[in-house]
Amino acid sequence: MTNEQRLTGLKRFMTLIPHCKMLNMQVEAVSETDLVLSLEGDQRFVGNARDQLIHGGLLTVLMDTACGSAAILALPEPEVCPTVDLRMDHYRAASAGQRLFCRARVTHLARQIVFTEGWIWQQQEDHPVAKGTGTFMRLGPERTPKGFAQHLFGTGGAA
Amino acid sequence: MNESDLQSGQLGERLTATTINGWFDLIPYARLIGVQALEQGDELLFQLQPESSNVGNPLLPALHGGVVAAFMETAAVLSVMAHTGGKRVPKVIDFSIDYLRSARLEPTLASCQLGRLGKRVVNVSVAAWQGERRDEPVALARAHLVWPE
Repeated sequence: MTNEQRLTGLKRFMTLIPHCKMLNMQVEAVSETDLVLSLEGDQRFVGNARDQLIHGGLLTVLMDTACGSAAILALPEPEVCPTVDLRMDHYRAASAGQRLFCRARVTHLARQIVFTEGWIWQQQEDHPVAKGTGTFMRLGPERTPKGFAQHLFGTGGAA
Repeated sequence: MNESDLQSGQLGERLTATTINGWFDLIPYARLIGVQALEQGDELLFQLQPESSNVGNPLLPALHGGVVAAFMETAAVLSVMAHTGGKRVPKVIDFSIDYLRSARLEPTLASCQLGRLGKRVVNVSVAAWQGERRDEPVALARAHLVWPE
């Protein structure tokens, strides 16, 4: 799969996930090793209106989606990958009004499990607001709906 | 629990669900996904409405795992505030969630348990389930919160 196919597929994937569509989650970049998703620092995403801070749970949504996408893209052929567990460390508060970026990558690909990590930043990537670790289960080709890969990435059959 | 632990977040009489539901103006994202507090007998519970915009997997359909996490994190913070009079807002320093079952598009409930209400750090466990299946949780989560200095 080329990076162009990955980018197109991932953008399509975002529109197929109702919650990501409502948040207007964007795909910034995709490569062989990692990807970047982003969200606006919208007023709807505030968790503390007095201090104008973004809700920690919104960061979890971004992390889960980014790590899950990285897991799917790391497989020989896209499979459905439900989250087994996810851990978020909140390094500092995220401010409303500034865009949120999340970079995610696979740290280890096992037969049944995909291990991932990601980090979220606003102005500087080396100054993250949160760090996340997610573990995903591979459902395998037999439990992935037929045409899943084809539908998303325009690929089919063996990769 | 160490007696000195209680200075900063005194366990007083728990606030009612009605009082807690008055706080959602300050938490737009919790309102966006449809979180509410409710009382069931003596217990304070939280509910996530089954909004179609909360779906993460349209094939099942199942709720977005991140939304379930955001719901449980909200429950953790509000439950700590409810037990300490709501005067201060604790900050979440870490949050960890285990997904046990897929959450269907139906009302989701959550209950919280304070593991330790410290002077600086609070430990909360959250369980979430759907319908009458409280013994089959869809997710279990744990959070650490700190009181702002």
